[in-house]
Amino acid sequence: MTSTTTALLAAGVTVGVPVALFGYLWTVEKLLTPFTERTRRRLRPWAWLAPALILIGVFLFYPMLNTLLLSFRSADSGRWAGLANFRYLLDDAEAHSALRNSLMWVVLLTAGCLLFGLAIALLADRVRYEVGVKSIVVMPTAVSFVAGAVIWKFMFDYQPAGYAQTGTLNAAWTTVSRQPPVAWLVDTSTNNSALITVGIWMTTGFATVIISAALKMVPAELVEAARIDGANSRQLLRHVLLPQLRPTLTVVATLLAISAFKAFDVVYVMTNGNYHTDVIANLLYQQLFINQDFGRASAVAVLLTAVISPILAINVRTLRREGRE
Amino acid sequence: MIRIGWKPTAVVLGSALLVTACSSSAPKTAPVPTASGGLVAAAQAAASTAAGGKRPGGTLDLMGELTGAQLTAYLATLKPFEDATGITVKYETTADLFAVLQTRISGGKPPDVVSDPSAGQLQTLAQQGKLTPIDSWLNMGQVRSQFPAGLLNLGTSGSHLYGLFYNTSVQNLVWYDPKTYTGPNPPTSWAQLQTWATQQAAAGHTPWCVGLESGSASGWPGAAWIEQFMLRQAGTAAYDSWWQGKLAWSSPQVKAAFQAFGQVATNPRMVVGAPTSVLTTSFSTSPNGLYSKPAKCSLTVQADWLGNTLAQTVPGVTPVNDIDFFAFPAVSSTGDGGVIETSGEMLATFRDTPQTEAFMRYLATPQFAAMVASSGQWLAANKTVPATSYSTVLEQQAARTYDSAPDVRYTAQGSMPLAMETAFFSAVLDYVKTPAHLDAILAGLDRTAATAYTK
Amino acid sequence: MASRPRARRLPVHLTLLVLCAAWLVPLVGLLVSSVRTPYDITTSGWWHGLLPPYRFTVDNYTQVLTTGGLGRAFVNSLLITVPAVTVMTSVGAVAAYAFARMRFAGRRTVFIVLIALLVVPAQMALAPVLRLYNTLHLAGTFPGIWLVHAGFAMPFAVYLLRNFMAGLPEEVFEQAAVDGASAPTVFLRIALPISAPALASFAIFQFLWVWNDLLLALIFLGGDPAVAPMTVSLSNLVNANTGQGWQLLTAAAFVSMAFPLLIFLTLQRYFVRGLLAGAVK
Repeated sequence: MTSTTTALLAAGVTVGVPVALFGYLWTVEKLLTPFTERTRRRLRPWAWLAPALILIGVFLFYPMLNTLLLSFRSADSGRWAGLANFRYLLDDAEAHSALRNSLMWVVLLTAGCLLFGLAIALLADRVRYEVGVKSIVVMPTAVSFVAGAVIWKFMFDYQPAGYAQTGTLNAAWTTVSRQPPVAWLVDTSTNNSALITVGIWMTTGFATVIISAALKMVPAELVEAARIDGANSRQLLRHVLLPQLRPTLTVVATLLAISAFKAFDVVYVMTNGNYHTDVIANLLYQQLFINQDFGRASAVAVLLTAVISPILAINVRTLRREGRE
Repeated sequence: MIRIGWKPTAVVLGSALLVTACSSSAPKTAPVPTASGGLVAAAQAAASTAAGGKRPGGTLDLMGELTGAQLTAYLATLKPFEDATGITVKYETTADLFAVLQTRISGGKPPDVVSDPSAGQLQTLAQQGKLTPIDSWLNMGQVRSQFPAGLLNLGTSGSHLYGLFYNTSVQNLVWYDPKTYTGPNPPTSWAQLQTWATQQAAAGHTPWCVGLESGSASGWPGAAWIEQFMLRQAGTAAYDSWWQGKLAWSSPQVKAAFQAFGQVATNPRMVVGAPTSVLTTSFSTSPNGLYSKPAKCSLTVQADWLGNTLAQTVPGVTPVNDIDFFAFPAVSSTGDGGVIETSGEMLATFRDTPQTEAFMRYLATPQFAAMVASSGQWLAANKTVPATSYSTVLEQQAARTYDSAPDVRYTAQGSMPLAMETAFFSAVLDYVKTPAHLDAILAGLDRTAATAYTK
Repeated sequence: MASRPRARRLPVHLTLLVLCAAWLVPLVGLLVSSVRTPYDITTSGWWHGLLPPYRFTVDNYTQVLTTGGLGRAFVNSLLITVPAVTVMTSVGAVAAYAFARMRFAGRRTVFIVLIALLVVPAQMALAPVLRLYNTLHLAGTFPGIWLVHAGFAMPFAVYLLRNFMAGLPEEVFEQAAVDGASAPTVFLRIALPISAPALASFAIFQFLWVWNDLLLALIFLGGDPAVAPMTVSLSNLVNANTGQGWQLLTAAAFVSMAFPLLIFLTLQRYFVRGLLAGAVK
């Protein structure tokens, strides 16, 4: 394919797919016309879901089934392995440590990003330089992981006591506290938190922008009415904004928790799981690409899905509540 | 981290962060020397012969992890082959060779040829029957006489040869600043060098610079030290059975090698701020301690590329005047004093096509090796290249060290299966952090070995 | 929300200032480092770069910008990102709308399966998809990478967009129903414009993520410079073996960040509340 045809194709797809999609919906509507309203209501959703479901089926559902099957097979998928791969997860100390660290990621990253995201979205909404604030918080999202690792190396850098500190944190720490410098990424009491901090720095922008978008969609009348009733900022937040934002906060929290479970790159490029910083996704990478054990890798993936199920349960409840409304 | 939702983890390891640990010189700012017309013409003739005098044409998909000036130099050595055979070499660079190669193999789309710093990975692939044997394509008599036996053994699985080394780099040279280093030169033994180092330490001058941080490959420089002690203390036979998984990690030999390294890396009198600073300092910046004011050290261990690299990054440093090396000294009478350790990239093929056959035959020729030597980036693995054909003094010295060595061993970390290699790196870090846990750490490595070698 | 009481303003400004500073420090450190020499970077903290004597250098930027084929790589990044984001946003919006505003049997089950698929680690899906692509001859092509990005992003798209669309006020749709508009018309004329902030937010993040993707590009496009995006060519800046050139990443970070940020700032206007207010009125 030459570059010109590629460019034309890209432009064609960019314009053509939305147009074709609408054409498809319109055609579906025409085809449904002869049917009763009841039948139409039954068929229409599936027609609308079809493109998305096909993509999901090919790229995720089928590979996931594949994974599920492989988790019961041997390293090279050649033999049936029963539950051996899962037993390894139960017995292996590294797997336990990875699971513990992943849970820490889920709790701290989710809480941190939600808290900062909500605070920044609410506060920025009240000032004129909102765009500036949001741009700053979003900027780290645009940084690649490798560059992110370089940036945070400048933050976490360590020089022996008595030498000039080249890392931002240690320069500040040794100056303020007069204590010896901390090896943030090596010291097991700080390293997981240090890595999660990088995660929060990179991800809060996402939470902020999504929460902010939901905030903008809160009907202005609601806010006005509360103001007229004499609500102060705190009451407004508690009784109007938070209830309105709750579905979005649930969605954002779910996405954050899932991404925290899948956190990989920051750990990989900064410590590669050494000094007890390993997480589930590292385990997966190790089993899949280094040990070439497809059975265990698949078992890790299945474990990942299993651990996430409480979060799914919360979503089911939210969905039910919305359904009742 | 955190590409929410469906963004697959971008497995970027930028290179300082690479699982490589190996080879090669001259950063990208260095101009790439061009080979003389005579060399190119000879290489073209060799390539033409390699293709059986025909012009097969077509393309050859070559996957590797070289970048920048090194890649330019690499492609220049392949240019005569392209010109003489009409075959276009398409080089696919990836910083995460293991993940990409594994996925491409299991996805049914491996490259034609892979250029891999982990010979262990290629060993595994050869055992799995994924690679194509190349010995029937080559004049094995000629190959055996021109390549070091240690390197050929590594490319062999069963009775067939699968991989050939493209380039090589001499590991574990001891680097010093001639203006400040006052110790024995060259030292006759490790004991003599350490006696001097201990005197320095007593006088308040920390003698060594050691940095193990290297992103996702952190620990590899320490692994290289330990390998060197295996060669020098336990000997090549023990070294070989060790990386082949036949000598236990908990054996006295391996334990002694860890401890010999530990006497340097975990001792704050030997390295400033050890052991913590050893873990946090990057392998690429730790040699700067030779030139800090006051100097943090007088000695550091690194491969042959270090000298030219320092000359290009540290202001005012010129090769030989400010940076020079001697070979790692002999350690004990049970070890092999002269055998040197190298790293490099092994090339192996997944397909039997006229293109891959011609390509692998070209790689075995001395004319191609001369092109590699003229690249200014590496030593040629083929020993027929005279040391004088290298462009810098330090490279010529390294080449002489390589050519005069009684035998050559590929770095053990790169010879082991990948799973063993990564466990080795982690173990080095654990050991430096908590030397008292050595027995437990070695027992853990034995457990890893129990599964790592069976595939 | 309307900004009213002036007296309460100071704490707001201060809090924002502190938060912005916290987020900026690492970036400023990177920016300053990007104009220093590698030796300076490793021997003194980045803040020394702000103090005299000044020894700024643009070498890092010169090298990054003159990297072979960066222009080509930039175009490739655009050719990968723009269609991929368009496909996932439009397909995702249609499905999200169906989940949000239509009642049908099996809705909840399908939706839950969809959220569950958010968890699938991409690494596990790569090999099966690549096998499929070999059969279909999609490996190494742009349509192949568009589809794979769109497929992987779909659960996220549907999940996020459904949330916004479910929260839209019922009245606007009732009005449309009274007017007798068809389902596609209601979607196009009412649901999409009101959802602009949500669609813009989604598109921006997907743009950033696809733009920064390295793994999928390497697996499905290969490292062939003819099709490689900027992430691939920038990841090649550093010498894999000696670690030389890592300082170039500092400049590369800003170079690769520039364009997505521009897009973010451009799309900012879609975040304003006015669109919704107008529609509800």
